Amino acid sequence: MEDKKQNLINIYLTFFMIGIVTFGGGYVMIPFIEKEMVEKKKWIRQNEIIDIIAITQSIPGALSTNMSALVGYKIAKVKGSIAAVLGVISPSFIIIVLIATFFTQFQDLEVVQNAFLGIRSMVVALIAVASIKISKTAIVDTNTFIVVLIAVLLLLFTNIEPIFIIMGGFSFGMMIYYIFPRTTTKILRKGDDYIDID
Amino acid sequence: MIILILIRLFLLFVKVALFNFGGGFAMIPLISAELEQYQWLTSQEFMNIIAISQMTPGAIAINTSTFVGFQVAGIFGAMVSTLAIPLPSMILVIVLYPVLDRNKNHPLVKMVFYGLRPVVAGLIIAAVFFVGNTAVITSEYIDMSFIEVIRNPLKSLNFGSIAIAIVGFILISKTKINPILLMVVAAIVGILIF
Repeated sequence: MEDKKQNLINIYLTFFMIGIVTFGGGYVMIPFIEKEMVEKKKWIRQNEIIDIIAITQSIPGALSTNMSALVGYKIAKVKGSIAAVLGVISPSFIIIVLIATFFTQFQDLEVVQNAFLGIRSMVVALIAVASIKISKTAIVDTNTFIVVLIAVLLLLFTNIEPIFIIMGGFSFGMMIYYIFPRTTTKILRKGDDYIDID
Repeated sequence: MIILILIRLFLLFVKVALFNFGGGFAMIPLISAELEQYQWLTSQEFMNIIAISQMTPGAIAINTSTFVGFQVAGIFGAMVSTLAIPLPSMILVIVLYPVLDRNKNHPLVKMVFYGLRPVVAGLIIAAVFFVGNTAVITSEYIDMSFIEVIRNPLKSLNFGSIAIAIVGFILISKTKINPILLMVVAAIVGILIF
């Protein structure tokens, strides 16, 4: 019992730390999840991260809280999910309430702007490294390489909502399964050593 | 009547969360329309809130809901609004994930992930460019066309940011340095050089 409680507090605090450093979108969480939960605490495995993102991108809501809900659930079921979500939203809550109370001209301060510009620059590097790692897991053959390329081009040069591109990837996998059973068998045999969503 | 306002705030942000697919910006018009209807905040106040929510850590959706809730109904408004955002997706995860997990070895499920993974990679690669734009291109040029930016690289590009990003990239890929430390250092370097 004590152990379980300890574990939930541990989950809350880990996600609290991640909540503090989540600047500019949920993808920034990836390197922190890798460091804290894959390397240090061994709560999840490296190759699970991409499927966690795939699932959380397919449901509505903010990416960072969705990811926390799912990772928390994988670690300790419903209670873990609640602990993780409360952890990741706590820093935002505290910071925003402080700013709203004392400091509504916050965004005009030069020192704040400069600090955030520095952080954003580092965030670019963090997401860039994450994108390379994730691509290595995702690109297993020519098909998947082409899908990555199409997705990037659509996202950068059109106004198509990301959810439709996600639905495209979903349909692509289903289409191969139903229309090309032989290709499916080949892909699944090749991928058996890494496809594992648990 | 505070209870009624709290319930309205809660429902507003549950709705926002349900319609928020991939990216916090889609929710702005939704909240803005609702705020106007109840006359809770002026549009100028709301724009300030968005600006602060983008700069501070955490999801834009969470920050915005906390801020709006606080302005409308104080600390309880902030609590109710903040909790409303993750609630729908948490319920979805708790209900759907066990079903998915039970069927994870089904070939159809495996093939769906085969198709989804490259799209996820694409989303993250695109995010590098989106975040990169706001860091690397100076504020005067951020709304201008690509050609304008290319024509005046000395004015349009922020070389300090580029340097931080490159040094960061090398450190992250070549060493086991803690990313939290890197963010702190980047903030300090930002204050010193910009």
